[in-house]
Amino acid sequence: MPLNRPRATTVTACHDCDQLNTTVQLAPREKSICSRCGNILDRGGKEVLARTLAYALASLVLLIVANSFPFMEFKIAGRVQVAHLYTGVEQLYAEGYWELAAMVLFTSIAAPLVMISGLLALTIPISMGKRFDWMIRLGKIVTKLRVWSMMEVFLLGVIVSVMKLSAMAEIIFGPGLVAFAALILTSSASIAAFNPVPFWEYMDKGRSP
Amino acid sequence: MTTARSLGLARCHDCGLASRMPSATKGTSSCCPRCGSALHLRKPNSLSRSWALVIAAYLLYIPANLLPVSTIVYLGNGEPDTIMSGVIMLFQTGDAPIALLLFFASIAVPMLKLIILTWLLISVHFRSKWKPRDRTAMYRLIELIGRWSMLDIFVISLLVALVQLQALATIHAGPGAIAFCSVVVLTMLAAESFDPRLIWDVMEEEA
Repeated sequence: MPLNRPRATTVTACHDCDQLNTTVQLAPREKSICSRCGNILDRGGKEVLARTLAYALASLVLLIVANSFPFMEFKIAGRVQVAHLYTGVEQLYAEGYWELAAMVLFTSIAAPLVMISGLLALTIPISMGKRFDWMIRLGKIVTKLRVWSMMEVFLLGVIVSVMKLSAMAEIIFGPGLVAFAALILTSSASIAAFNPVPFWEYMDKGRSP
Repeated sequence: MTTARSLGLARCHDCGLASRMPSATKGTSSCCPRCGSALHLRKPNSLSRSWALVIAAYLLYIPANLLPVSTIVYLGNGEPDTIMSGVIMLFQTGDAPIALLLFFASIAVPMLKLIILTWLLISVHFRSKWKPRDRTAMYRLIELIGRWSMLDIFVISLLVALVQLQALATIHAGPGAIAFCSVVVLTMLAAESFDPRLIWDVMEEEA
C-alpha cells in the first residue's frame, strides 16, 4: 500500500503552539506529542488503506439502508406512527423551521455522506498508486467535515427521545436504526484508519519528483 | 524553543506543511506549495472574528433559554417547554441520568464554551503569560465537546418526527430551538477561528 511507512524524518510545526518538532516514524499505538504544549502531532499505526476503503464502502451501503427503512415506530392507543431517518428534517421544514431542518440534514446525513464517499474516492486512486489534482481539494473537504458529521450525537439523541417518550407510548426500533448504529461503527473505523499526515505526504510526492 | 514563525515558516491551515513565507511584510498572499491553500503565519483576524462570533452567541443565548424549544400537545393541552423546563421535567419524572445528560449537553457545555472562549480571548488580549499549556488544553477541550450540544436539536427533530398523531398527541418545534442551534454553531465557528498559537506568542517575545 502506497500510504504505508517507513516515512522520512521531518520537521513539523505544532498546530496549537507553533513549536517546531522533529517527527520520526512511529510504531503502531505510538503517538508523537508536541514538546511544548502536549498536542498530538501524529499517531503511529498501520495506515491500512484497504481498511479505510472497506469500511467506507460498508458505510455507504449502511447509509443507504439507514435511509431506506423505517427508523423508529411510535405506538399509542392502537395508532402507529412510522418515522424514517429524514422524517424529522421533513417535518421541521413543513413547520417552517427550515434553519433547523437544514442543520439536522447537514450534520446527520449530508456531512457523513460526503465524508464517506470522499474517503472512498480518495482511497481508490491511492491504492492504485495514482494522484489527481482534485484529490487535494477533496482531502481538505473530508478533514473539515469530520467535526460536522454528528451521527454519534444523533444516536444519543435517539436514546434520549426514547426515554422521554417511553412513559407516553411504545417505541419500536426499525431496521433503519440498526443500520444507522452499525454505520457509526464502520464510519468511525474508516476515518480512524485514514491518517491525514501520510496522505498529504503521498500527495506531495506527485509534485516534486 | 524554536517556533515556525521565528524562522519565517508558516504552517499550512489545511495540510500542515511548514513552508517559508516570502516577504510577509508586503502583505502579498502566498500559497502552500503542497496543497495550494493561502499561507498565513497566524489565522487572519483571529481575535476579532472570534470576538464577533462569541458576542453573537451570547446575544442568541438569551432567546435560546427564554423561548420555548418545543411544544407538546397531548389530548388537546399544549405545553411549551424551554431547555431548562424540559430538563427539570425529566428530573421530576424520575429519569435522572437522562436529565443529567441533557443538562450537560444543553446547559453546561454551551455555557462552559462561552466562558472559556471569553476567558481565552481576554487572556490573549492582555498578553497573559499564565499557564499557556493549560489554556491550550482548555481550547482543545471546547473543540472536542462543542458538537455534543447539538443533542437537544436532534431530540427535537426526532420527537417532531415521531409524535404526529393529530388529535391525540403532537410535538412541535419552537423558536428557541433556532436560537439554541445558532449558539451551538456560532461557538463551534468561534472555536475554529481562534488561533491557539496566540496564547504562546507572548512567551517567545519574553526570551
